[in-house]
Amino acid sequence: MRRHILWSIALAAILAPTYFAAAQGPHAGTELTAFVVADRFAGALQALAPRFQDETGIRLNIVPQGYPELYQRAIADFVGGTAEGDLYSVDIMWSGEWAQASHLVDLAPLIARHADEIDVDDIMPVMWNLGGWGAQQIAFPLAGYAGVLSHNREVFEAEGIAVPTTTAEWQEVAARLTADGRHGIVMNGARGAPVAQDWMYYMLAHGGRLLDADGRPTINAPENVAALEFFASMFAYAPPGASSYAWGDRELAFRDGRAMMQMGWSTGVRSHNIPEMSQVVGKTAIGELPMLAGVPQANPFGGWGIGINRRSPHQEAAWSFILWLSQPEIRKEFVRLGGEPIRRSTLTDPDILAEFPWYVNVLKSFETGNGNFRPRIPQYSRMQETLGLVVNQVVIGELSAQEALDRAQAQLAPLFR
Amino acid sequence: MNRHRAARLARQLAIYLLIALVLAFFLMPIVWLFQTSLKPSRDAFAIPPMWWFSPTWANFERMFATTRVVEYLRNSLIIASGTTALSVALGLLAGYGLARHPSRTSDGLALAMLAVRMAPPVAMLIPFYLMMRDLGLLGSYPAVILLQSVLNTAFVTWLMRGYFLTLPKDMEESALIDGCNRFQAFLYVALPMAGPGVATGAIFAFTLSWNDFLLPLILSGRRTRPLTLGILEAFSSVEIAWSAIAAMSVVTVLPVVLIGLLLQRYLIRGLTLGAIRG
Amino acid sequence: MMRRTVRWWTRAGRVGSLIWVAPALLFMLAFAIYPVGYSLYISLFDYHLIDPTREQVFVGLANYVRAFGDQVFLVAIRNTLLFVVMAIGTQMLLGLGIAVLLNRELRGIGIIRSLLLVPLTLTPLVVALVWGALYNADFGAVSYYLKLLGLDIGRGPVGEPRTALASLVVIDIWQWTPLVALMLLAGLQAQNQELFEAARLDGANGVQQFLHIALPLLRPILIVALLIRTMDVFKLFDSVYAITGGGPGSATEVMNFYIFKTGLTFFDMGYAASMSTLLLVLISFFTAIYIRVIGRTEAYG
Repeated sequence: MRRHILWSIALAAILAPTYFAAAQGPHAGTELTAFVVADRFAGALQALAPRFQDETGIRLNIVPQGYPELYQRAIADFVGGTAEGDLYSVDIMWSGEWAQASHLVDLAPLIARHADEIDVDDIMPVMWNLGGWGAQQIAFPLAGYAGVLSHNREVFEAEGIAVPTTTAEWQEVAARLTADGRHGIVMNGARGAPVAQDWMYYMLAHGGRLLDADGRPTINAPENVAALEFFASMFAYAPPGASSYAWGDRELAFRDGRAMMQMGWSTGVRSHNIPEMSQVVGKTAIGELPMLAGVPQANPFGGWGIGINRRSPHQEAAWSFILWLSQPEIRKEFVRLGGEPIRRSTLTDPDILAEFPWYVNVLKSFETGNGNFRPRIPQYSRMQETLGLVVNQVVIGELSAQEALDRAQAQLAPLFR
Repeated sequence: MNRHRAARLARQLAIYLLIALVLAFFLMPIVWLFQTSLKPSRDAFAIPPMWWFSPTWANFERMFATTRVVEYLRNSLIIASGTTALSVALGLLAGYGLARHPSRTSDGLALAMLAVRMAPPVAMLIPFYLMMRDLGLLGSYPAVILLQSVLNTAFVTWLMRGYFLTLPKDMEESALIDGCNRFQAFLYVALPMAGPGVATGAIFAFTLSWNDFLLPLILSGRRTRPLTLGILEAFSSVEIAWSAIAAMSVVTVLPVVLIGLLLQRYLIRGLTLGAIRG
Repeated sequence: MMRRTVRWWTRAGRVGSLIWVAPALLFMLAFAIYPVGYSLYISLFDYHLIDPTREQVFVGLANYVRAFGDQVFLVAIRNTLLFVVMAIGTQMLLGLGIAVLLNRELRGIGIIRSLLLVPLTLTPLVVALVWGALYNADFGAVSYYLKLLGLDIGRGPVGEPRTALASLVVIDIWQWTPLVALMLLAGLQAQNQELFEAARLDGANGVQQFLHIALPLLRPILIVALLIRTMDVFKLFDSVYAITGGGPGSATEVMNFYIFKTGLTFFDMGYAASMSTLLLVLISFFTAIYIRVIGRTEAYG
């Protein structure tokens, strides 16, 4: 009997340290660096990093970058083989390019293995676009964005205007609201990614698409030309400087109450109600993308995934972070701190809905979200660069919409041989 | 007599007014920058522009609390010091040699040095990037320091050559006659006298390195990120945090502005000296 | 033994200077000449760094041919040259004017010089960001005052294709005119006043004195200022990157920026290298002109 007790004590003594080690985690002491875009969720990640460290002992450095800088930094890191970043935030459209070039670790096997832990069914299906490419999943969904039409509800109600549901109404409303230093709408006009990406909302609204069913470019299809003409004409109702606006400027114009409508991502909605930032607190609402008459409702979907650098020496630790972040309780905290949801459970959580009531609309949008209206193909960066120039040229009146898209088609077609 | 006096006075006034206008033009943006860093975000872009306001340290507090500005400051300092040391060392020797051995080849070399500085960094950046990658130096301090030094050495050489050309050779000649070799003459005679010239070269090298943005954009890593890159972090997709940008910009420009003000004699003198001797 | 050493070290001409220049030369050789040479080599290949699976195909001069057929590149050349001419021309004249203005007995000249110094010590990126904010069509101070003056600024100074490049030129002028001005001022103040006295006694007025005495004496410094500034203006990058991204349209697309995008965002290395070579050729052309001019000045002593 005493022998048993002694053995038990000895065993407990031996096992005790491992108990503490487990609470610390197998990768304790590792330092991870994550390069993420300076969107709202970057702040949320930074706020969560200490908690992650407490629970696992892994030190996480979140380094926010501007949008063009992030892409540059990432590609330079991959090409240079330097493993500067262990984790990268991946924009939805980069999925194909980064998958094909094998920059990131394919997470599909890991996700399959941990499927129960992750509760894969709770993650909205559209979210897998954030890093999915063919059979690969090179990034795990991090923040899902719904394309929404933000508008100044107070002014709409004061003027007795209904929220537009068709493109014709949209233009009418924008025109009506433009007067006395106030502008009906605001869009990105700056050459490059800003104008290209904003135009793509309007392309979707006209039932246009950049690729056909076989994946061949249809840049100058009639619907796209019409969409571009529409987009350019709307600048008449936007602030004069809009032709040089990027996302930050566009959001500012709306938050300052100078523009009555903007088409943008749901992640911007939160800042509309922050007193230090916004002049229109409590006065705004969101709606869906107005469609061309006869075209079924489409909901733009975008967002970011988080992936592991193939050259990182800390892949397991990095995966443990992704896994940790995906837990429902952590996701809820992430959203509360500034992130965007990926789980249905988060989007239907009463606490979340109390604080962010518009997630009801966002959930609906996700259910029929179109994550491919900006093709997630390997040639996307080139496409964006070309469109970024010609669309800007149409906006400033240098080219007609037809000329512009014909040019883009001619330039991009060779890339799809 | 009175009319003459009045005309002169008017002329004086006009000149001072003109000077005031010139200064206003050249200082307005800087004043704007400093003011914006001290304004709360909402007032940064108030229309009409607010020139009077109640200042706040909030932007700086937030910067020190939420960004890695101290780390970036340290990195900028390390990179700039490294570049300065290397460029000045190499440029000093080269400039001295070219000054003391005038010949067609020397002149040719001097111009070649200047020509290197003419080359746009982009031309060298791409192969340099590949070179650093193959050497495993990408993202380290040397990666940035080496290429910056290339551009700076050329300029410092040219500066030092101009400076040494204005320095009388007598003392060195007598040292040589006394039996020193050229290097000893340089070390014990010329170098002590070269103080101002070295100061000029050092200021230029330091300033150019500290203010550089393109080379660190490509060659620096997460641990060696200087201030110029830190500023760009304030551009997010939901807002452009001008107040944050202003705060970090102030931290970035202040050191060099102060150096420039304290040592202004050397800055301009160095350039004009080089000019006088071609 | 020692005398021979002395003689060897002091031998004027090639060997003498070479020893001293050797460290710097070797350094440049390794980290400047070699990269440039390698760049020339790559320019003959179809080299896409981003796609390691793709073969590096030798294509000879195909990249160069492509460059001359590339509309954006041609526009970039034009914009770069336009920028150089506008920026250099204006700042030289303005700098000269300011130098003349300040070349007199003034109270507080020390402070004036100090204040004038500040713009050129600033980080170009910061300068670009500040001016970008000031140029903002909707709430920039510059736009505001322009509108106050009754001007229709349309999409804003950097939003209108017609004025975008010129607006960037203004930024360059703003930052670097003080350099020219201070250099020329130092030159003017170093000039021997007796020359001017003699001329005045001969009946020459202020303007004639300036044109025939001060200006020619100022020539060496003018050349140097011209040289330094031209070198730097060809490398224009920060303001394009930070404010316009080459837009609106291609109005502010300059060579340095386009090469950067091609080589370091799209990693189309071969093509970027070929354009770099062309840019270097362009700059060498200007260098050659300057060398001839300086050579002439040296002859004057």
